[in-house]
Amino acid sequence: MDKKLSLGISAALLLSAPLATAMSDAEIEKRFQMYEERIKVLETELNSLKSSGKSPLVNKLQKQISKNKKRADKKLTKLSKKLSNVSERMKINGFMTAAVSMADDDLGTSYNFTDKPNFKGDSKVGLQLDYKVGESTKATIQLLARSRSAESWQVDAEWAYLSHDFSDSTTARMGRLRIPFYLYSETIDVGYSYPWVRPPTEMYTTAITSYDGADVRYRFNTGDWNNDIQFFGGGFGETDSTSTNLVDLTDLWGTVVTGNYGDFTLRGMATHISIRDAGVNAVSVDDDFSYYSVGAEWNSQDWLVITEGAYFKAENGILFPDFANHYITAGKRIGNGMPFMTYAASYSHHEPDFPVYYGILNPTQSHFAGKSVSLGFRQEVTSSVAMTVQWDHFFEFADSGGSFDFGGIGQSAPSELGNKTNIYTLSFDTVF
Amino acid sequence: MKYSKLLIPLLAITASGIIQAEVKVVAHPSMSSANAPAAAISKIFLGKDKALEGTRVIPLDQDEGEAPRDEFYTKIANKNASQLKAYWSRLIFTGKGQPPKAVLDDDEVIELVAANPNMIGYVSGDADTSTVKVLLSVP
Repeated sequence: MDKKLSLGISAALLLSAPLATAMSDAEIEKRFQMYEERIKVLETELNSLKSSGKSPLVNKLQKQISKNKKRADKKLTKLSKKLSNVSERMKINGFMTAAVSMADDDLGTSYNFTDKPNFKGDSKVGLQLDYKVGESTKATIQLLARSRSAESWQVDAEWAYLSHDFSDSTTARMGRLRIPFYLYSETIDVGYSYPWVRPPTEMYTTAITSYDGADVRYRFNTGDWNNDIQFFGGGFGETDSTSTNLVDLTDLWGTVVTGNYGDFTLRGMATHISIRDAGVNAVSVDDDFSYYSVGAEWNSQDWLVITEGAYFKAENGILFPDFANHYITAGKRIGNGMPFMTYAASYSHHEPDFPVYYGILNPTQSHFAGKSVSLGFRQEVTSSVAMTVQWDHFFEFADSGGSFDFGGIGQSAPSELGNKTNIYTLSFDTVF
Repeated sequence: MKYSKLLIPLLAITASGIIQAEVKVVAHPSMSSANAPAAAISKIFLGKDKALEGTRVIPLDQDEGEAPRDEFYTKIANKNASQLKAYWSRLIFTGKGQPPKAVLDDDEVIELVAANPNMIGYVSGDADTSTVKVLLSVP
């Protein structure tokens, strides 16, 4: 419901924006032409009078001309000020990924990996509108069109919030926000913001990505370190994964601490998630989860090294198993290109046995393990377009079908899938 | 000591073989901090800080593709054009920041900085800086 509303608002804003600009533009042009014509008429009159030598009339006309010129200038500056006000208040940014991938096996997952070239899984386009409501208050909407789990493309409002700066260092936001689980969780769809064709799936394939709630960010400097503490909390109901059909009422709250020192960034996250009345086989289930992650990034003009690790702990262990995942990526910048390599792994432990939920959470899903090695090359085609090729080799699934979610809990791994598989991807990313 | 002044540019020219253009960071003549460290200036232009040596300043960027822009960010912020783009995309699309306002060229930077006590910008080494104060000059 509120999604539809925000979509409507954003559409209205999007439509009205260029119109308003165009009208003011035309208005300025029109007025300018009008004044120019008036001045021309007076000038020709003046010239004809000059030649006939009637000096008092000439003086009068000259005064009138200069008066008109001044008025025209004034009007013009006023109008252009109005115009720049509109463009100052509103910012439109966008991003796009056009990608094709092919896998050895039908892996399903929210990325739609199949053994045929697939243009849908990774491709997406996003549009963000920032509108300054007041001096320190801003409304932001980010619309994302993608085809991930759906058969056809669909548009979602991934971000839709009001933000207010209480000071230079404190900002609060309310609305629909992205859950900041990891370093790149909040820009998971902005392909240009990271080196890979997609963030390591072992870690970044989370069932939930957005929440409805609020966050507060506090920024402060200690010496040469720029630090940032973020508190967030809210609830969520829908996600882009089919697995959440199980989950009805949930809430989460957590904190992220980030420190940045020149090229070096350190990050830590802790989140508490509650699931209440999850309807599984007509049985109501409650559980609480703790989620922790740490990350570090070295991003210089020569090297890019990113590493993250996370741990998920279930209190009762009846809906999901505990699990851990981690990865490390290293890339070397050479001119406008960057070869990079990634190692990633994820595995579950303390798997619940499913006496009640058998058939919905099947054993393949309660237990999972997998590792992967990826090789990639990213090339800057222009200053805002990057091309990336990547080969992912997944292995050591330990009879689990790897860390793929196969389109949701309850979907078993394809029977022909052995202990390894490969994915090949070509991706073009841009921001504008 | 005496020779080092001569030696450094000589070494730079012979070692790199690339034409290294100078870039100057400029502010209004009333700006108190005559010598601002590169790290502090970098933070202003990357949106990490809003004040330079205690004075609130507004950074002025140059349009993409302008030569001093690439020089400035490579030397002062340690980021090339695409790294900078990726950096800002992580801030823009998470609502955490917007890049500085960009103007046309050196002339417009000088014009605006000379007229606004709280603006700070950068220009190429050969720009006429008689109406502004040069905070930093990087060869």
